[in-house]
Amino acid sequence: MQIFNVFSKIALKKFSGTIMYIVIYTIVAVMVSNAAQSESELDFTESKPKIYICDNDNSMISRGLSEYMFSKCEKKEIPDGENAVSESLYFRTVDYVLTIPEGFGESFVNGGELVLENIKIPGSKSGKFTDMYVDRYLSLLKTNLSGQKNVEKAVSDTMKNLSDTTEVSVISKDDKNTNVNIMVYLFQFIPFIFIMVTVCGLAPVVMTFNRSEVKNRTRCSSLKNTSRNIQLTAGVIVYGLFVWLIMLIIAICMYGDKIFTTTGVLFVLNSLVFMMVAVGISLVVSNFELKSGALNGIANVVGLGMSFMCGVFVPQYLMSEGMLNVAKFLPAYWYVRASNMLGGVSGEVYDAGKFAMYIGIQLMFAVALIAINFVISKRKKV
Amino acid sequence: MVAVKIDKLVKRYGELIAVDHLSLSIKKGEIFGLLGPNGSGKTTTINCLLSLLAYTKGDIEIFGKPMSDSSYDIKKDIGVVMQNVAVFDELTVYENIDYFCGLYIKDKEERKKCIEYALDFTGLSEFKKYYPKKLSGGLLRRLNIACGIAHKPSLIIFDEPTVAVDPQSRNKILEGIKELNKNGATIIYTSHYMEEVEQLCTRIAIMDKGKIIATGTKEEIKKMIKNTETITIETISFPKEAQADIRQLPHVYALECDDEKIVISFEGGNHNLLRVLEYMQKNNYSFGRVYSELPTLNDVFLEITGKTLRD
Repeated sequence: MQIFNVFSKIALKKFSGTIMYIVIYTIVAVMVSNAAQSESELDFTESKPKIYICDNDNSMISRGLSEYMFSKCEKKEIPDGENAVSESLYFRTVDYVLTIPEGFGESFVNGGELVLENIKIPGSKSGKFTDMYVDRYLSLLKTNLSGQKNVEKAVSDTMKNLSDTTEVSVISKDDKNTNVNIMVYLFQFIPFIFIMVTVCGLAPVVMTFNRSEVKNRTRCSSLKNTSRNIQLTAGVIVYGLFVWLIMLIIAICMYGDKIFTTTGVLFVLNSLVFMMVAVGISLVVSNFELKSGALNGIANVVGLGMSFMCGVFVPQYLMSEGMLNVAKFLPAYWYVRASNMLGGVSGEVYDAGKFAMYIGIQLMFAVALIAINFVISKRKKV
Repeated sequence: MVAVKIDKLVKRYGELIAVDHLSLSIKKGEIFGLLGPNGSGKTTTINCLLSLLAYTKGDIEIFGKPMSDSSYDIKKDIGVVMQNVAVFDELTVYENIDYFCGLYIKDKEERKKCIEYALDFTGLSEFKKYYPKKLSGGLLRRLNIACGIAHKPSLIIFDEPTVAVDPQSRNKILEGIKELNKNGATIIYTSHYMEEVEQLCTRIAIMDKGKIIATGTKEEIKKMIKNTETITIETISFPKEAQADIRQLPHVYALECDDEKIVISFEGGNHNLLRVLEYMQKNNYSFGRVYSELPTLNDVFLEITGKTLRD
């Protein structure tokens, strides 16, 4: 177990460099999940500006206006005093102060020029909303007054018309988010993270053993070549499983029992298969004697490139047909397809056959990468 | 008893013949030097010997058994010190020796003793917790040697172990190799430094273009050439008549002269220097320094191939 032990020792020493990716991944996953779980996007609550109304008219029209405004806004009182209004606005105890001048009702019916006075926080959203409510009441009242001279009925009709509320429900694009499985937000970044962690963490360890001097020196020893290869393979598998287990623990911490549901297990299975792909990529990369800077560059190009092209960062339904056709030649595309299907993101209904196909394609990529690694290392053998 | 026997070894890289029908036999307990310029086929021969390279033709036997990639029973008795330092930068000196020793010895206690022996032998005990990057070039070479000898092999192959090493470390390495040989190990030592090979080896093979062009003890090899002594005299504008006179002296077979010195080559004979000095004094020719040199392996190489070992 000499090679396996040293492999583990070196892997642990180099693992610290990849912790950053796992930490960032966890933070992003938690943030995205929390944002997705927040009800603000799914519910609608009408906001209520704080209003003070000074009714100097006390007519049928002004009372109707006050009643309507208090149904839409939060009624506030302002204490007496010279600077009370400006102080209340400054300290945001009120958003809007409406003054109905004496004789306004009569003037409104007769088409006079008397107007309402208001003081509001300049440029505020609540001010604009309140203006809108006032305009809405007066416009509707004007319409109701146009066919008759009965102010009481016009006010009553206006109040009735305004009492009709609109049912608001927030529907996301294609109405897909409503059934989205929350776990998808954790698992969707897996391709990027696994590629970064394996290329930056695993590949340098394998490269250490593939260095021609060390490899030849080991071949000169009495340790059998098969034993060397088995121990190295075991090291690679344990590394992959270790990283995958970390991800699994994060998933369990975030979603608890949901991970142990059928969908959860399928998510986990999908991630395990992609880990094989990531390990395959890192094995191919490890055949080349690269400096750590070059290795980081490759990890970024492969990890980010594949993630952007395959829909890890941008939903596949927002991507162009041409881009998706190219992405079909990359393993992350099939990972995302499977993940989207499980999470209900794409609207694709879960189908065991299709899921198996997506997993199978990823497995073929993994096998192909391992075969490429085998061919390269054979050709490099002196 | 023969430790290594190579018979008509051929290694081709396409059209290029790297090793050309090379045959040699190394006895147990010898320090055998494989000398040749860069690209002469020394390392290729060693790689074939260790089965790191598949060869085109020929037979290799070590300790009387045919050597192949899967001859693990033979490999356990071989120690290898590669030309390029083969250590892990991520492991300490101790861990590195432990790793390479562990490829041969499984028992932890036995391994521990071997590591201590290797550390002592190479003088690395005080550096055992250091990482290779903190070691000087000489110490790094010594670590490379420690990794190769820790399992106490009976055949040790040193492939240019002193390349880019300071003279002090070089001497330590050479002394160490002599000691290993005294302790019973057979040594194969490749180098393009003729001084090292002359100083260290009991038998030498000189290689060029994949072939052995001379083999034997250093004395035997030197006898293969005409030159037995070269005398150099520092003098200014030595007259042509005098040059002709010196050419007539016994055993002189060549003379070269420029504005600053004359170089006289002798084939055999005794008291050659005395005769030359006697002639100079008798004819009142003034001269500066005079020195006599015995032929080196470089002279042997030069005479056989027409080029120097470091060409």
